[in-house]
Amino acid sequence: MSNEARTQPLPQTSSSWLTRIAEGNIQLPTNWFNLTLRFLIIAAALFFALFPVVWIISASFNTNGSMVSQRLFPRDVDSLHDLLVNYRLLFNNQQIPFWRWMGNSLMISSITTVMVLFITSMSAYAFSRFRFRGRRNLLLTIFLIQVFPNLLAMTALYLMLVQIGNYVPQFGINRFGGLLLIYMGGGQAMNIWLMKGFFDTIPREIDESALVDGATHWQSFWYLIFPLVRPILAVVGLLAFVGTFNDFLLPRIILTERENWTLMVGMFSFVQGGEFSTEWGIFAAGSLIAATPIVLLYIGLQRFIVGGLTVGAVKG
Amino acid sequence: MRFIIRLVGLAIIDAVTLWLAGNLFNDGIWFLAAAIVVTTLLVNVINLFPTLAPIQWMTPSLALITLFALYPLIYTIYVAFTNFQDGHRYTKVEAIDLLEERRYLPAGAVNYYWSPYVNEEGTYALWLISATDGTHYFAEQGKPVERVEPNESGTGPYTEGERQFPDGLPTSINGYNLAQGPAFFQVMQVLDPKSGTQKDTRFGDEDNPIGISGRSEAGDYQQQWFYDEDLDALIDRSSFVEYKADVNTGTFVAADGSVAPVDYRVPFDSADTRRTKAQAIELLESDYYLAAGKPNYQWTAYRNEAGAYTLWLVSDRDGRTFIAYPDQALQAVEATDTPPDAIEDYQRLNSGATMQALTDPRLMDTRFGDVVTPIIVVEVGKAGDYRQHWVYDAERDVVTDTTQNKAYLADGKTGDFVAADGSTAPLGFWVWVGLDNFNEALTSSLIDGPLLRVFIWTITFAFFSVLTAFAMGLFMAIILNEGFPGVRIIRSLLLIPWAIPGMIGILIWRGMFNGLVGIIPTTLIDLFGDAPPFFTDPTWAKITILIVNLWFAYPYFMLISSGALQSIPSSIYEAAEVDGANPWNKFWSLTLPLLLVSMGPLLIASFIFNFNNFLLIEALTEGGPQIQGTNAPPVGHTDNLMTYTYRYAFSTGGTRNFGFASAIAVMIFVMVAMLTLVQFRLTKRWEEIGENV
Repeated sequence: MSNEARTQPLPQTSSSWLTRIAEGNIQLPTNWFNLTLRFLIIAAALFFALFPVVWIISASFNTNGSMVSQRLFPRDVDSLHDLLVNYRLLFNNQQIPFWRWMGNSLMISSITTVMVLFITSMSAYAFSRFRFRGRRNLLLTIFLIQVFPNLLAMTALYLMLVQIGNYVPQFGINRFGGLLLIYMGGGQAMNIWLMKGFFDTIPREIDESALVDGATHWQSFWYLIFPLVRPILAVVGLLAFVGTFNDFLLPRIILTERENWTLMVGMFSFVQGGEFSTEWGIFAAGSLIAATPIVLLYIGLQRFIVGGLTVGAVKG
Repeated sequence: MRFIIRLVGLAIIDAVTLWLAGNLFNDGIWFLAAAIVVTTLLVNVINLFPTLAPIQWMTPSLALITLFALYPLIYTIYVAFTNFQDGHRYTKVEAIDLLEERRYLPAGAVNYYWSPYVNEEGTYALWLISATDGTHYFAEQGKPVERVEPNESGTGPYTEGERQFPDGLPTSINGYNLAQGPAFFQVMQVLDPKSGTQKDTRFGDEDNPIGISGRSEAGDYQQQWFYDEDLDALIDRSSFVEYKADVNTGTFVAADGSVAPVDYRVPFDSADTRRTKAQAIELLESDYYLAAGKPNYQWTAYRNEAGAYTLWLVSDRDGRTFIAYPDQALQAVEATDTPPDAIEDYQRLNSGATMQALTDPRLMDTRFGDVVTPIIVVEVGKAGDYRQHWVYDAERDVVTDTTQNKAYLADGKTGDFVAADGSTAPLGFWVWVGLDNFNEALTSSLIDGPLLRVFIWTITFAFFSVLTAFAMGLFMAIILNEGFPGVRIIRSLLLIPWAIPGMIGILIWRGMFNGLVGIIPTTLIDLFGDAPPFFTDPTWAKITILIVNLWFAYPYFMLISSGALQSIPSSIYEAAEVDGANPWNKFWSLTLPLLLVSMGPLLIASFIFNFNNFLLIEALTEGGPQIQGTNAPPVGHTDNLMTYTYRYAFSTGGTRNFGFASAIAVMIFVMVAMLTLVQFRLTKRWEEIGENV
């Protein structure tokens, strides 16, 4: 059996089975017992998956900001005004610079994304198009270095930002510069790997003919290859953006002033220490605003994301 | 031309980085300075040699990885072999403030849950529910507490339902209105016991004063700790025990030897090793003490043309004023409001000149006054019969405590100065300790401490989280693969947990599982009369973590295995059916093995991710419940290796042992790196790279 398994082709190019999911191969079942059973299982799974989401939506419309008095359907609601209490608190309260946090998060994530795409696509191009000694070992080394979790390097990174910040404050504690550099340096290995895999699928003839015609490597990279690899740029960019936007540990340690927090650090401050009595509603409202665009992006682009993630991993 | 542009670019980068590295080097931060120099060299080398052209494309990648991934890794490995730890975290003032913030409930006093009411003048009152017997009270400021009944007192509407707090509260009573929603948020800004603008507000009358102590607690809470400046002691009001400050150890000690729960930082802290031996000696030697019975003087320095000094001294004890020349008896003079501008031909130094003079040996190394009343200058505002507390003898490598004439020999192995009787001088230094940290982790901590338990839970958690998520994901994929009306929408809905930002999702679950107010325990109590202790029982806390992790992780496996399932050719199943296999057989002997082969690397990647999963545990349980007997730092039943390490390196209070934390970090790194290599073997990635793709 094991021999047979080994000789089986591994899942082929991502597109073939992904399109099959997308086509959704629906056949109406004929066995009613089977159908009912599966209906129950699916209903239970949907309940498990969605109840927390429904609960947080409900909490965001709960007129009393506390979790104690929360019901699934908010009570004592006389008007739209009542319903949006938490949202108004979030937007209008001087103590809660919600839009500022949102702006910080968007800025940090956008800059990180652009820089990561630029930096890693150059490296991926080199790994894909050049043959040089130690190529394989270099990539392996980069991978192994990045296996070391950022969190364990936190002491070193923190001290480093403090020390550099003495001379270049923009890159110190409580500023965005150092945080951006750490984000750019992290996760390079995986991104280079994903991109290299995609670059390899572009026929070399394309750029080789350009090089023969006298183009520089830079020209062939920028004018020929770059436009062709947009799908993988989209995947890596999305992952980098969402990963940065959702990150909480680094900004929590590095960004000390309330004004400079990112959205996730701000959201956490509402329920810090497992306190769910006063600001639960505000947390719910802010979380919904923060999470909705990301959920829509993920659900809409699920095929690309999984295709991009597995092209490196599942492909044999 | 291109080459010149490149040279100019490199020159600019070199100038900036070398300036930075030079400054860091001057500050003694040579480790980071070296990292920056090496990175700059690397950038220069790969950009100056044409043969390295392919690597030039990776310049930004390599520079960032060297500085922000490789340097922290090497630094951590280095620290793992040293005794690096910082001393006590708080200054004395901070420690006292921390303690003085603590409140306690005197014996016999009742704790209440509270809800705020506010009247038109903006005065607050509280509706209270006793935590002991559930009776309700209404407390206005300066009036006796009034007994009230839910659903009866005041004017409604009263909310329906069986649940306790805050149901049954009136919307208004005695002219006060229930402060809900936004008003409640305002209330906390005013009454919050730590940061509120009127944080000391008391409700009720003198017989029964009620204060707010937390977001759900109120009662006759009283400040527990008071600092008495004259005694230099903390007094615990709940037990009337006095804890005297001990300058040598940075603790507050009671007569029976017990210590107050917060330590503070002292200038000389043997647990603080953030300095080299030379810096430690310099610090010790700069410690002066005032000889018994002698006063301290405020001094003003005067200097003549020849550069000699004289001092104008005012005693701190009685205000008597003297002029002091080197090696002459003090001359008493009339006290004046301000020191004169000149004494004979000596001119008074302005403050800038005084600061400069503090580095002049003719001021600092000179003994003023005579043998009976010697005066030396120690620092601004400090002069008198000061004696050097510690003297270092380089030949014997010994520091001597001059007050007791006790010699401490430098021990380069432990980073301490050790006396013959085994006691240590109160200052450690940073030394290479070899494998000590690893030994401690692998022997004493593993056997006696919680490390083994933490390790087992880390593995268990990673294993079961992958297993449960894979099982549910595969199960759902199979169910959905057979088709169902609306399957696309269902699949998208099932994917939502995967897309929700981790921190937010975890906190939602933490709220839903919350023992007091969470929807899950309260619903279970409503239905069955009881609910499991989700966060307080070790086993249940672990189960809770696995449930929450399952919610996050199964959609990913559902997506992946759905694709992998469809890539299994149906011809295999047809062949199996010919052989008479039933669906069960087909699953176990065909589908699952095939899936495991194609998904193996992803399963390992997921295992690694969960092995390192810090956020889930820290945000959901904070490692709790605490394991009995672990205090420094406290370790919980659900702590994994990451959160455990984090507690050593970043725990608040106590000493942060970076050396030990780094040793564990290095061990985690080795384990994860090995797992990653296994994963690579399975993917055959590296063979592929070796070929000419």
